[in-house]
Amino acid sequence: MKRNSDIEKELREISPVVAELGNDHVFQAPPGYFEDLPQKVLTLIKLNEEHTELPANEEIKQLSPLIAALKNKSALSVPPGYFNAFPQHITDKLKLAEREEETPVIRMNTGKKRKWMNYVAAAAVTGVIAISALFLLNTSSREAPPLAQNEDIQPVSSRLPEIADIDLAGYLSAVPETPEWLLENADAEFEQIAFLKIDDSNLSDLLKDIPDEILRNYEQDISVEVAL
Amino acid sequence: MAINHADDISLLQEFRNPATKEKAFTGIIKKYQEKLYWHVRRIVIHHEDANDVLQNVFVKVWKGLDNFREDSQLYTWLYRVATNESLTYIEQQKRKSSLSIDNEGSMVNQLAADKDFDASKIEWKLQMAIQQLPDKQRIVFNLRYYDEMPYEEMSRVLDTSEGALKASYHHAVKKIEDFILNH
Repeated sequence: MKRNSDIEKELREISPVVAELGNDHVFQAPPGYFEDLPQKVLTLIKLNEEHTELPANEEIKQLSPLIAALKNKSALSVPPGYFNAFPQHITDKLKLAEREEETPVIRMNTGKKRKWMNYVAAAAVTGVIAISALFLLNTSSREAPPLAQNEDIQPVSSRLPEIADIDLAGYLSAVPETPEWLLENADAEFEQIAFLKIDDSNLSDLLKDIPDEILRNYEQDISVEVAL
Repeated sequence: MAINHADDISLLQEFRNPATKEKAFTGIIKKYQEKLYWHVRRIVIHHEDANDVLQNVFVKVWKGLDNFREDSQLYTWLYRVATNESLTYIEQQKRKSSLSIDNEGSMVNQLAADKDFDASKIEWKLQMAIQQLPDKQRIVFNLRYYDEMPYEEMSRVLDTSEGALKASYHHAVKKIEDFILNH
């Protein structure tokens, strides 16, 4: 398509690159489209102006006697008895749907109980937050400098003069100082366990609850270790 | 298309009475089931699909009939529901199969899957020709050719001007004739 010279000049001033491009159509109309279009438009106008509508039978005979002649030839078929059973089938389906809608749905956690549960849930969440906060505080206090380097806390030795002698004497008398004190005050069973006083007489009592198989395995393990 | 509208009004009145509701609804089904079945069947092709769609149509009719406005005729409304339901169904099928139902091959294949299909018979050629049409044009052709629906009523069913429907029908008939003569 040849451009108008003024329009081409204008385009060239705006964009020489675009002006160099051709303005041919990239789209195509179907063959014969423009030849048939006037008749199609006239037919449409005529159809719109027609106020007397032909019956469908007459119309198809005029349009295409071939297609009109095929009208009574049915291709698709339907299963026998389908239309007799269909109304009952729909009625049953609707009744079933209604029954399903009417079935009461028992909801868990409704009413007062649900409110109560809400409070419990809220309290639980609050508790978790509080415990987490305490945990974090404790963690950060653990990361504090050692006591000796903490200027707020003085060494024990520097504060000893402030403690009365009578208090110190009371503290020392309450704390056991020697193993002998333990031997004097602990019972016989504690003494046996604490100082491993195990002999043949009490060994069988100690081992009676252990299965034989485990003992045999242990024995084998020990003998292997000794052999090595 | 001989429809007794007085009969429809009587059925609607009975439907609104709880004592006769179910009986009236059964009457509506009996009156329209075959017309609607064939309308749906010609769109969706297979009997099983048509049966599913028709059941959905009547379930929707049951739910919506209380709100049905009597300024439109019952059969027009039923056809509208059936058409929309059928088009929705084939749209769903398109999405499921990722195949275009407008695709000539897929529709002809669906038709060819029918147990009675015989491509040499003229009635099956007609069906194949109808399947070449776009959805809307196919529905216009079916409503006019098979159901003999007046354009005025069809205009209400399809929400399209009568002039556009007439033109659509004329184009459809010519396309079908060309197909039959050339195949």
